[in-house]
Amino acid sequence: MATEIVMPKLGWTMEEGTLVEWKKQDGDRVSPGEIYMLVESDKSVNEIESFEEGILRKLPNGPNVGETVKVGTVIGYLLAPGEKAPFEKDAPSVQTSSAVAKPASAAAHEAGHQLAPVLRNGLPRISPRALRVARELGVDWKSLTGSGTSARILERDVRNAHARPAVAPQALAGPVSQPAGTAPKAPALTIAAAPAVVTPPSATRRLIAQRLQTSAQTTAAVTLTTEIDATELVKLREVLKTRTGYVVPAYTDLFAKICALSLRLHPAINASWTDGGIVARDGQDIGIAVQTDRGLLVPVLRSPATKSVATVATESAALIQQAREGTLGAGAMQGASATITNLGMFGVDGFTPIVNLPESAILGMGRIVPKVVVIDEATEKTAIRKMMVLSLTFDHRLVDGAPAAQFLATIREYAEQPYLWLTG
Amino acid sequence: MKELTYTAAAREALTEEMARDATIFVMGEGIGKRGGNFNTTAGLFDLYGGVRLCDTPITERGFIGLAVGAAMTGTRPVIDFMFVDFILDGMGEIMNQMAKMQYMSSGRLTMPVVLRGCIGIGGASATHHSGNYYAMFANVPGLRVVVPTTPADAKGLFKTALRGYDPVLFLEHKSLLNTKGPVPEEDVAIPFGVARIAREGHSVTVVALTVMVNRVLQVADTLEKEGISVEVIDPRTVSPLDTDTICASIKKTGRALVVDEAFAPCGIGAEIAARVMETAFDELDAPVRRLNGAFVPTPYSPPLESVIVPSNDAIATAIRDLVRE
Repeated sequence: MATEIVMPKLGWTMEEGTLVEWKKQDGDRVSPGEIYMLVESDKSVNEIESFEEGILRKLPNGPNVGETVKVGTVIGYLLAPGEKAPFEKDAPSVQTSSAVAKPASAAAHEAGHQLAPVLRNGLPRISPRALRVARELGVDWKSLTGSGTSARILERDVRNAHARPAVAPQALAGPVSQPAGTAPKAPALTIAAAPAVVTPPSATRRLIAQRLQTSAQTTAAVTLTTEIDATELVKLREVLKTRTGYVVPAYTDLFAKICALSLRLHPAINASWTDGGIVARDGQDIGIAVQTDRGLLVPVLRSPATKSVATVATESAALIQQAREGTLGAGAMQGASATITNLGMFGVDGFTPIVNLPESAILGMGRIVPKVVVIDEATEKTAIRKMMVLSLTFDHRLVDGAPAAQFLATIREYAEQPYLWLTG
Repeated sequence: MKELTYTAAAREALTEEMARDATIFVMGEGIGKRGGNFNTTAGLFDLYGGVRLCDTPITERGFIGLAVGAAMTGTRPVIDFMFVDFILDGMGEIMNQMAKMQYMSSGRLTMPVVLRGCIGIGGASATHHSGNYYAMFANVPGLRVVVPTTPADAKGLFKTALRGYDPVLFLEHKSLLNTKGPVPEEDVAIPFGVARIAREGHSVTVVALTVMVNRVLQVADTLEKEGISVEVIDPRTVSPLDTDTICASIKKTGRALVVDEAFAPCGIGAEIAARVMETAFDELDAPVRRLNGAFVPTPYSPPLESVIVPSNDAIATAIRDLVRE
């Protein structure tokens, strides 16, 4: 009789595992004690050995290598010679065996744990009530997983899925970002006792709230801050201001160019975390957060790395004007690699910007302020320099701290020594 | 309201109805001067005399047949079986005559007979004095099967039994006889086929029968502290069975457990599960579960007897498992 191979439970807290590698191939004979697959859970890779003898047949619609599935999910079968697999025509019934797999390091093995089969006809099991509610609410239940011990999708799973807004990448690449750490209040939160004036949020406000909440709740956001010497950038602008016929770039324009150039050197930052995997992005378009009467909008500067500072400044001025006039198309707010947000004009130094999904980094610009700085410690030489704090928030799901810090170091280097790129 | 034991409440119903209706009379072993083995007729002999409280020999089939004939002539016999196990000696009379008589006579004859007695496991009564037979009787068309849990229900349902025209099995769990509870002062007849919501809750529906209602209520108080809100339903009559109240509760909770001391196979829990599946399938978030007494003859040994009936712990575990499912 066919014996199911399921994603094993290798520890008390393990709920899903990743199929790392098949050590045996479809049709191979597996003997007791032989390792037939590798499974990753909780950052460790475990060798899974068979208790039984049989011919390995992989479930045709089962998980691929690298795919993560719930514990108990059927991923294949062990068959007697000549026996047909249950997914083949005219196959006999299946014996469910939770004991078919155990980790080679058996310490974590948990005897007697119930491994409920999740799939039926390739679909997850769902309670009649949950199915009814899914139909009423129009929820696509086939992608859900059950939260109870039965592994059956329950009413609460459907309702939770319904309450969670579907986050399509298209919708995310859109029009808002967050300059300061001002988390929006959900409109439902009102204080019953206070005679507060309740104003329904505008569509833009609602979208901002939803998207920032999604970002705050789904990203593993970490903010790095560093104080840089912006004296050369200040000089650059002051020189240009004294001449006629030259466009004077805003600091945001300069940092848009610097940020795009830095992304070229750090492509790992230029990527998105999606359900399907990590999506690397071509090009370095930079969003710039603009405060408008309607709320925050983020028009996107296209390829500032390849354009002169004057061109970048001209284009950004046009985008900002369109944003304030409300004539910005949705396409003009999509596709950025990273976003720049500037609160320096409000006297802010460091802050914790919220990542503008699906991007993985946002750079916050603080005010530029003259400070006494030690130039040479040995001679006790000091000077007055124009200092500025940069705050880089990145999504730690995608990027670790060290590469993010290296990215910020490049930005710092380019900001402190503009000749490095102005001549490039 | 007054506080009465279950037996006293049922006896009060009988006393009041016998005063109201002179056609009611009682037959049974030791129910006359002795007042019944369980005091079911205590004091009634002095009130109504030996004709209406008629002691019988140990001849169950004989006096059941006698009751059928008496009912056909327009009286209202109440047979007190003490232990319902011995009703089985007269099953031919009950199933072939009593239950079918109205049908066979095209309604010209009525059959207002009350067959009462103790059921249930408890007190080391052993296998001939511990049966729960309501599922078997519920399988017979023409019979009404009543299983009250509280003193108030015992009185109110007994009154309805004594005022109707159908044969009624009035089954009293022996562990309930001395339990006390509030009983209304006024004349209340409780209709058959209307379940009682013994406790409101929203996590899970537990349908419990007779003595198990009280156990489940105790367990529900414990589980409330764990955040599990149990709705407890006492059907009160298993024929007719109030499916509407059960399904309305499941509409709220999505989950149902039937707790019954009687056997699981072909039992009331099986009937409830089937009806819920038929009428409330789309409300179920989990399969209907059953918790029953063991499918064995009742042992005499008290330790063995105690493990064959659902304990408070077993009930709590079953509810917890169902809620997690």
